[in-house]
Amino acid sequence: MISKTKLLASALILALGTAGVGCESDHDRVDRWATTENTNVKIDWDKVNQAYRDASGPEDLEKRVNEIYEGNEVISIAVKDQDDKTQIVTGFFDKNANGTVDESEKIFTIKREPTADNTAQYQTTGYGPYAGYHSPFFSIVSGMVMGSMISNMFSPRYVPMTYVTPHQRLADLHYERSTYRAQNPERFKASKSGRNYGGKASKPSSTGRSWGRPSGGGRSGGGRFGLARSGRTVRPERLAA
Amino acid sequence: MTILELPFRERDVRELLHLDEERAAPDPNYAGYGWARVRELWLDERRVDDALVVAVHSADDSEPIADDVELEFELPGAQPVSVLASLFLAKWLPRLPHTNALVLALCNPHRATLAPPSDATLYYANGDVESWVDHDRDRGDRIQLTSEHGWVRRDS
Repeated sequence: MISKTKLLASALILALGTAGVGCESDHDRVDRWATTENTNVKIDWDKVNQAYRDASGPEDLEKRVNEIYEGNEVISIAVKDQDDKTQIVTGFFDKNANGTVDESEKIFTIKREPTADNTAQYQTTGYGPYAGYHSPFFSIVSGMVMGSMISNMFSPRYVPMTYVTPHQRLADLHYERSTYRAQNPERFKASKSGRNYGGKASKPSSTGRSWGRPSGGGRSGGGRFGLARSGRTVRPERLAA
Repeated sequence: MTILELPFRERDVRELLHLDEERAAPDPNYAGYGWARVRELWLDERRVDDALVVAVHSADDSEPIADDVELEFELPGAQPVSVLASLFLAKWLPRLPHTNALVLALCNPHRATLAPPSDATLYYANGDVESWVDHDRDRGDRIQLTSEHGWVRRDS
């Protein structure tokens, strides 16, 4: 027997999907893999939008977003709620490590705003190298399947949220993402951008070595085969068999 | 977990050496590992043919050991584990293809002296190791491992 709760959840999931598709224009679909000349790192916006829908809180969202992002930078998250339950989530590269969102560091915002009783909507907008991306408006209805970061807004005991990724957490996020990437290599295949460095002189490596540029080509770096582990106090378990 | 349960598997050499996308300099945070067989590989300016490349990582804070290197492996949803290189190779090499050369893509921060674990010629580096690819219209791509303090060749 299918419970009323399951039926309601199914109906609301369908409603959300329909709302999203209904609002989606051709422009939106084209922008799903938005890139610009300033970066060759793509962001899968569908996954970012889904991550916000599923996140249990800011820390969970920043973990999800950094797993989606395929570049080397770590994305910090700032969350600011307003009195009417409007929420602004900002993704940014905290380049100056000051723990605040500078305009030049912004890469996206997600704006969630109430629309009527027990309903709301959210939209994602790209900035900087991702300027030009605008998601459809995604509908939110009380009772639908979603993470508590959104669903809490329907609680009568809702408390406005303020959060910024602490700078000290960036190293942890980087480490967690490295682990995720190491174990999901199929997700991080070759760039489809076609970008290369053939026209530029090679940079010296981090070891201080440098090389002349080969004729008619260029040079691209891969990886380093050592792991930076400075400052840790716990050693990994050593396997003996 | 045992050493043979580590997710150490064959990968395309470009993926293994993190050369599957263009970047200006090697990624210092790369943590991938595995093995690949290649027809040709350049160790600094020296060409090596028919090589088994074993790409693994040491930790910068690894314990200095005169004749060994402590390897470290990041794992999905679990804390990293370490294994001594000699033990790791003794377990895994019998399960990998036999080649003329065995190349360790591995940082050797304490300049440990490693013994050939098989009848293949062993190449390992002293200091940092990084991977690069040279693009050349005439010659084609050349995959290179560079060392901070040179490569060591050990014949069995």
